[in-house]
Amino acid sequence: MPARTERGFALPLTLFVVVLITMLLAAAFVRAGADRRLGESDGDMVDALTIAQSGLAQYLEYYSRLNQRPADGDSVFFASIPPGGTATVTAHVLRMPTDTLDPIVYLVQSRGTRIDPAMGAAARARRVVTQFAEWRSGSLTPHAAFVAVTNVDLVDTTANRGRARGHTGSDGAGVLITVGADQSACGRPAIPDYDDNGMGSATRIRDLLEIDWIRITTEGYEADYTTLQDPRTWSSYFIDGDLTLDVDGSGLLVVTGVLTTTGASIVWDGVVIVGDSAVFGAGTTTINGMLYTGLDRGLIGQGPGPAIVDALTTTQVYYHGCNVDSAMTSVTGFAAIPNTWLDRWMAQ
Amino acid sequence: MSRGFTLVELLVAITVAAVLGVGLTRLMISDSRFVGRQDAMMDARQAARAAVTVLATDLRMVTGRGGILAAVPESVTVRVPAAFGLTCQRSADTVYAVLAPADPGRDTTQNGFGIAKLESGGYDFGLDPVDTVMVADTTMCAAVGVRLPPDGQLTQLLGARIGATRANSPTLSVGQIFFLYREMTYRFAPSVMVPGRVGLWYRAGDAPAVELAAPFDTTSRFAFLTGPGLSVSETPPGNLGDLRGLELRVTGMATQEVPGDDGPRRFSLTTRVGFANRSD
Repeated sequence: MPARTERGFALPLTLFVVVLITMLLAAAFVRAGADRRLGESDGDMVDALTIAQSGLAQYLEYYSRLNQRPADGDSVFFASIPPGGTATVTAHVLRMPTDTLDPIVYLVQSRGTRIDPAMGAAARARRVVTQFAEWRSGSLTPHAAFVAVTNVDLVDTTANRGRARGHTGSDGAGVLITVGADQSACGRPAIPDYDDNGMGSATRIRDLLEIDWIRITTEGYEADYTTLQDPRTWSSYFIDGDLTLDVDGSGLLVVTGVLTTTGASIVWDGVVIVGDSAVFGAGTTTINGMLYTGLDRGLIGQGPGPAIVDALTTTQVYYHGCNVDSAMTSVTGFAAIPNTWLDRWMAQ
Repeated sequence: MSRGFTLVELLVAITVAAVLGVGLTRLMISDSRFVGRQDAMMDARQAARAAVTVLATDLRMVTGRGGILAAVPESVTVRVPAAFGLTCQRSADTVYAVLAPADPGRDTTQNGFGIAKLESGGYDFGLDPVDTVMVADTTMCAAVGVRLPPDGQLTQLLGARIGATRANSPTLSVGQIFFLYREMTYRFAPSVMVPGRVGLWYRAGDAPAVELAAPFDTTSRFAFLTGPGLSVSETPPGNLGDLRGLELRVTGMATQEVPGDDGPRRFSLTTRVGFANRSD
């Protein structure tokens, strides 16, 4: 008998077993590897979303802090965002309104890319989110210290009593008044002196102002406060209705109804915009900034809404460029429009 | 000369072979079960992940107030935004609008969307369906300062129901931000794909329900997040407008039971999803 036939079957059997076990384990490893990759892929997608969201937040915060608005098509690349990736954020103007108080609407898109530096620059996952944002310019073109879209009704025109400084006293539609201390500091140009009435129709004044009052009253105006709180903090106030002003204040005050001042002396630094009448009932009402009255009735055509300078009172409206700037700063800025976030997770 | 094997040699050989065979068999059975368990666990994990991925993506965009139509631990019905837009012209019963780029997976050319307009405190929802028609002429939007973003679409939103002529529908003015949505119902209910188990079903509007993933354990459900601290509750609040998010408690199951195990393998995945479009 040849020797090789006496070697037995131990070696082939061992080899068979080893190959079999190796194949089983290899199959298990392949499956486990696929499962691990699926798990990592899920994790990478979540990370990419976090990175995109982080890039979006950084972009908004950056322009908010600068207090500047992005150019149309602006693109910013954030090179390193935890947990490991990059974000490219772009902003496009969706709406460029003509109304100076209306915001410019942007569409901001952030593309987050998850990268594992140990594995090169190849993207492991991408995620895109979009967010509407707005830039509130808060700029008002100063036409006059006191703009009464309809007219000014002087109850008492005796000297130093019941008079609007600079106003001659005769009524007429469309009153622009700027006389006296014209403090055009803060880079503001000087505005011309007006001591006039009957500057034209309410329509002409409306076109001058570029304030979409109908939109403000029908859709509301997002101010810091809807009641008169902390009135010395250069905030913005939107009072939907009438307001009796009996404290000094500063900032942007928008009153849709009638504004009545009362007390011995009331001083408001900033901008006051009144939809209906302004009744100056305080002993002395002083506005250092700009004042608009009669916007509601003047624009909607419901008849006159006069600014009433009550008897035995003094009303002084001074144009003050610095105060106008400070007041409008409260509504100036770049920020996300709440509740307009969209996940575009299938976009690459 | 070949003398063959003795009885003792044969007995020893058989004994050794038996020992080796038993050991090998046990090893292979053990390995097979290990592989089977891994497969089962992968099945369970994949079911759970699939459910959470889909649910989280849709639920994250819900607006909260007005965005939740119904909620119980086994099921939620929500309004899921498909695309946001900005109106640029309105006639009696038609609105022209620019749609921001939408997710490629959401076809904004289909009909029967719901519509919601942005207000300062949240959204007002329309009651009737809206049809969309793509438009090429952008001049009407340019006239009011509305621009078409890259990959955006100019769209005609059809239906008097979104105009001022229908008392029960929101009025869209020019420059109004809005979104188109689908009403989606997600429900953990008996599975058809894996009979005897639970599946995750979804239904868009009045369309037939579709089974999205399966199988799941019967404990899979929604929990409810309320309050500024996102407190977890097993039951929905009385006022669904108070919901600020959902907790997804998903337990995926293996399709097959591994021999020797006392039931299918399970994989639990719990994820909290806050409503990103509820800022209050």
